Amino acid sequence: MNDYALYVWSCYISAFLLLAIQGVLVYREWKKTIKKHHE
Amino acid sequence: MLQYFYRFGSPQIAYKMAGTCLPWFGLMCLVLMIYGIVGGLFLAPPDAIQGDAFRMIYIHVPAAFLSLMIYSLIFVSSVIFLIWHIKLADIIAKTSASIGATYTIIALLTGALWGKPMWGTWWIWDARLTSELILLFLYMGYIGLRSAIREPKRAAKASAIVAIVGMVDIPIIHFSVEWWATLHQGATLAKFAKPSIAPEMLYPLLAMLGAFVLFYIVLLCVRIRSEILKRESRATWVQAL
Repeated sequence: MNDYALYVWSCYISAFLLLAIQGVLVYREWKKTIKKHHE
Repeated sequence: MLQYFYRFGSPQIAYKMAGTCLPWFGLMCLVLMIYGIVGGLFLAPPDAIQGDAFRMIYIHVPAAFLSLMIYSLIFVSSVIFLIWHIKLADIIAKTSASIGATYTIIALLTGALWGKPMWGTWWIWDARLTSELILLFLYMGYIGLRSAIREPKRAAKASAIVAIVGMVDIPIIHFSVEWWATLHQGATLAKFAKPSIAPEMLYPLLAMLGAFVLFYIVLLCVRIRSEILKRESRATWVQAL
């Protein structure tokens, strides 16, 4: 994978980073809603 | 039929169903994603022409597929909302938009990363690439419009109309590689009659596709529950939670 390693790893890391950010945002929204609901 | 439609469209049932399905979908997503990553990066053999660069297919194709699938779902939900005024349809459309935009960004970004070693350029104003970029603008326009209108009912109606109008871009994206002489390659997964990909390459791709779909469903379930709690805060069943 040497010739294209940089591109392949960049592809995987950037994609999962974006998915993780989306996941964290959704989870934070849920926690905020739950907190507000219990108040 | 319409009774079932309304029954399952009830926020209370949707809230409970989303909560029940969430851990199972999450678990299935994790298993498929691990197999997809290991299979895509290490088990699948290198491509005869593209070598190891083809491994980007395991991210790019599922992300591109999801970008189209989610927009189509927003379109269907918007039509249902405008005709039958089912609240859940509007909730699905609203909560799907930012997830769809994320998948579109991933498809464009990984496409650029694949384009550089294969085509010699990060970007070209090719029919497929341009129409996918327009899809990102449609998602952004949809999200922007929703947040710009304060009154929820007006925001829901206006954004539903925008989603329906924007649907014209979806067949253009899909058929662009057939209608125009593009640099982008033709369909890989759609050719079930005569597969253009070897089985050992195909299975991790299908696993990753399943994982991306399940990840979307997991995020959707969480967002649907949040949105229902916000909208139905005065309902007795919500206060009893």
